[in-house]
Amino acid sequence: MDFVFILQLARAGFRELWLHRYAALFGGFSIAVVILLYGMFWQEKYTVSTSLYADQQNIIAPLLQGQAQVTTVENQLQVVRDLMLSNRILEQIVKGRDYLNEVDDPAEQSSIINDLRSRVEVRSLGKNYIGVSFADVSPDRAYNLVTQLVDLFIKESSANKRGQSKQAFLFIEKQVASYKEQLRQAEDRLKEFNASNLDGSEGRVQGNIEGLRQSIADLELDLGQASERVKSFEFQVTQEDRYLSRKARSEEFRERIAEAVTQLDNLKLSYTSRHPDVIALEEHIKALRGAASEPRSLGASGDSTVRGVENPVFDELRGALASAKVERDTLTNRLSSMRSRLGEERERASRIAERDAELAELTRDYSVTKGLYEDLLNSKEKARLSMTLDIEGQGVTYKIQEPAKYPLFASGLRFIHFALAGIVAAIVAPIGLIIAYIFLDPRIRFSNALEEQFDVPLLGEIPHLVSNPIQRMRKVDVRLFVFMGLVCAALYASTAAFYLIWM
Amino acid sequence: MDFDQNPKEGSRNIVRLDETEDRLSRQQIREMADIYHLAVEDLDEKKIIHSKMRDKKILNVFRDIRTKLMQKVGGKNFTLLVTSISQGGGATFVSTNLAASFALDHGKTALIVDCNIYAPSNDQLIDGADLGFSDYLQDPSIAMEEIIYATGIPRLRLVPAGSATDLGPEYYTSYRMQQFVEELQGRYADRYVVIDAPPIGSTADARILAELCDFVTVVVPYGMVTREQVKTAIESVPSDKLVGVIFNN
Repeated sequence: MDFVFILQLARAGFRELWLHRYAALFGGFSIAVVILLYGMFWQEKYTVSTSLYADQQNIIAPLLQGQAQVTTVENQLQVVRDLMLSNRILEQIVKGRDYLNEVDDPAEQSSIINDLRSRVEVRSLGKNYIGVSFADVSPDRAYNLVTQLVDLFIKESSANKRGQSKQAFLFIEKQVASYKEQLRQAEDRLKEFNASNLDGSEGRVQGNIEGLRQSIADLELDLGQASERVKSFEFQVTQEDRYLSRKARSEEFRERIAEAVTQLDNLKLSYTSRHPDVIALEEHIKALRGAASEPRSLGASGDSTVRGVENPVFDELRGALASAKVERDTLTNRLSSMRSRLGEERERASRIAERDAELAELTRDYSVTKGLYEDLLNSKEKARLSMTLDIEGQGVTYKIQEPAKYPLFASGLRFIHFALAGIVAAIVAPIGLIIAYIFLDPRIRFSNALEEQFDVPLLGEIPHLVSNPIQRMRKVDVRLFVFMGLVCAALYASTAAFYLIWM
Repeated sequence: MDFDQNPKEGSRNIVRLDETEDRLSRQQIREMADIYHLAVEDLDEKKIIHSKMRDKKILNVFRDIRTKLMQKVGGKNFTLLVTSISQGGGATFVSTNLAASFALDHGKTALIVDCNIYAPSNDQLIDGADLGFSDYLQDPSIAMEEIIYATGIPRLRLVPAGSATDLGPEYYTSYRMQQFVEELQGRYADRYVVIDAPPIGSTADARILAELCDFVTVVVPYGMVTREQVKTAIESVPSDKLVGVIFNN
């Protein structure tokens, strides 16, 4: 939109305004009057505001860093709002003379409280400052409400805080006592368990089992050996017995044969082989050898002779056999006793595992209870400090930073604003409507539109020429219009002034 | 110079040209202009430009238009048809002042033909004209000189619409009409004929008359016509004759 266009638009607007001057005048006047009337019925509001200072920057806070809980202002706004707009406080205000006189209707009371709650504005004014404001059509009521609200809030908040911290302390104290009892019980249980558990440690039992296993393996080897020895002794004993009878008779034959052979050799030295003695001797030797090789003749003829012979080897063997049997029996007994001990040890090991689990549980119970108890003990001390702080009035305290002032002037829109807005609207609305009319009306009002739209040269643009009689007429017109305008303005101004002064 | 002056009619006399004084020299033109002229106040009242007017802006606009038209023909005289798009669009005002702007030049004369027979308006320049353009077309016994009137403005003559308002467009196409226009333009080399035609949007008259003229200009009034109306009007004029549009505030 360039300057030329704006100029053209202004010129056209002025011209159209002049053409429709009475419509514009009376339209604007009507709009102004409507706004003025609206302003007459508008209820002016008086705003009262005050600010609170949440004092938490005292010397105690840094000293007790991490020890006592000092409430901060960040979460304080919500707390203030909740407490200040709580039913308890608002009820006290509503029951005052400004709102409920003798009305005792709970529904009405509740609706008034809700109305107040939505109208009281509690907001943060930066670090540590909280603003409270309230607007009402009555300045008295607004002022009373804000002052009462803040007074009640300060009273309530300190009482509230003391009560809260004391309750917290008492609660923690009760918890500490309960945990102490629990801890004692856990200790007792652990003690009892330790006293009843004599099986020793799992490691020792495992060592015993290993030792027993080793011994059993060794014993089994020894037992095998002993049994083998017993068997071999038994065999040797039987062998020795039989061997001993046959040997006696063959030795007899062998001696007799050897005697006979020696006789024969002696005979042969003196006699020939045909000598009857030699022959007879040779026959005898033959018979002896035959007898020696024939067992029946040995046995049949030997029994009586063998029994009487004492065999020392046999005795020795039997002695050894007896002692081997004794050793074997001893080993067998030891093995069985070892086995039973191994069983016992195994049983003990499983018992110990069970008991270990129980012990772990008891220990865990104990340590958890102990940890909690210690924490609570700490908290209890913190709570005691916090309670002391609150009782001494050293925590977050609220002070009135800026007291509420009685409102002398209404805030927000006032009648004078409407009166002025009416004047502005009376001027702006016709102009706006005329400009809208120029834009919306399709008829040509600007010469450059001709040039732009049609391929025909513009020979010239003839300015508006006013001839003298028209000028004279126009002068009359202008006078009449100005007069009418002045009448409207005077009417408007006098109405507004009358209302401002008398109402 | 033998003008038939009628003293009974006061200062606003009707001046009729004699047949014998057809050919006028420059000297004669000057003398003719000196017969009488309207007072400055009268001109202002009639919304007619003059060289002494205080509002030079409007004077310059008409001079500018005149110059543009003169440049188009290279100094020769011509017949210009001025028509508006709608009734009351200011065609009479524009045609009168355009003719007056030609007449401002001491070496030129101008003649306005009021063809607006349904709503004649140029009567304000002259009082009591009994014969006019329509009478001339209807009655062959009337001579051309009988309908040309002096206006009281130096070098500016007027052919009023006349009294026969039942004239149809067929008269415009007549030979007499054609001859009339040719005669008006052809008689004096320094006479510029301006035809004030009825609105082009309402009757066919303007379009028929346009055929007889050298140039056509369309007056577009402020805030009275839409683009479509302008477009229709422009399209109805032969494009070789349309010299341009004049925007009338």
